[in-house]
Amino acid sequence: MNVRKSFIKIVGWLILGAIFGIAGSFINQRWQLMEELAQRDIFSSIQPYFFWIHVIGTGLLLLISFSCYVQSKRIMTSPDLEEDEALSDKLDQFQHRALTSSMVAMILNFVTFGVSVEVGNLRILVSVGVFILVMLLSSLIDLLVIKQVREQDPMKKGDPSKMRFDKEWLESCDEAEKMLIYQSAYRTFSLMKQVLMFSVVAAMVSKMIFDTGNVLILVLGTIWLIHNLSYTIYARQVEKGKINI
Amino acid sequence: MPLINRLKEHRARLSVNQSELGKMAGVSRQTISLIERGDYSPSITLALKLAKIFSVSVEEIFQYEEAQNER
Repeated sequence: MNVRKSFIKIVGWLILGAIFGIAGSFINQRWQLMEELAQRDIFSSIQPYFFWIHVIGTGLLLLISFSCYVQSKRIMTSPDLEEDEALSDKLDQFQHRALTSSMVAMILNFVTFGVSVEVGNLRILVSVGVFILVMLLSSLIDLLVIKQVREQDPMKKGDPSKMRFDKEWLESCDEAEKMLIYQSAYRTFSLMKQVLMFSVVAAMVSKMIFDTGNVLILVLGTIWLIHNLSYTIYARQVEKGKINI
Repeated sequence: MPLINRLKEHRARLSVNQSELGKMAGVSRQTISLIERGDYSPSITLALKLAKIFSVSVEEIFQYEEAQNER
């Protein structure tokens, strides 16, 4: 690695970013695109629909999650499961899909509920009911799938209702499973570094156009800082053997 | 992957499926599947365990083949 060349490359990226910023600002001033967008107040016009996005979105995701669980349960009872490797792979796939859909439902539940909670929303009580129901159903599906995985692999440990679940689960994983977890965790960390940087930039732009204020910038900036610092601290602790993963 | 393996052959010789071999070696079925596909190189401990199960040397299951670009 040539430090001079790499530094020039980084400066090049910064200049490119500045060019895009200036060009965007020029286009905006020339045709007043963003002002028009801000005046239309798109967010307020779609806000009433968030209730339905909440109900239909989470409902569909939970349905997908539950049907994947049912499919995996059906495979679990198959007498060919032990011998048929393709069937075992299918079982893993369905369990994975069930957990992923349930997790997305839970996130969508939080976001859409958060948007729906507003003074003057007449359906607020229904929103609260839907929120609680989705949380309960999502947790139930998670518990059922984890129980199923544990039945299939008795070496797996951990109860999702306990705070130590992640730690216990990781400890019960074998070396290849741990390697998969570490590799995907590092990829996620790298992706999130980029996502958070662009989110802060987007929050700055949003402040100028939609007047979203400084809170968004501060919150995202704090998350970005915690994200990067925690990685550095944990990496150092693992290196020194202070924490065992 | 420079590590090539004959795990599937040895497993067939012993007439055990991936789950059974996993139980014998103390790992999951998925791990056996990953090793057989060449997607995961096992630790020395696991390689030795597998060799012991099949009563062969580690080299008979795993062989290191130098990649062209590594030379």
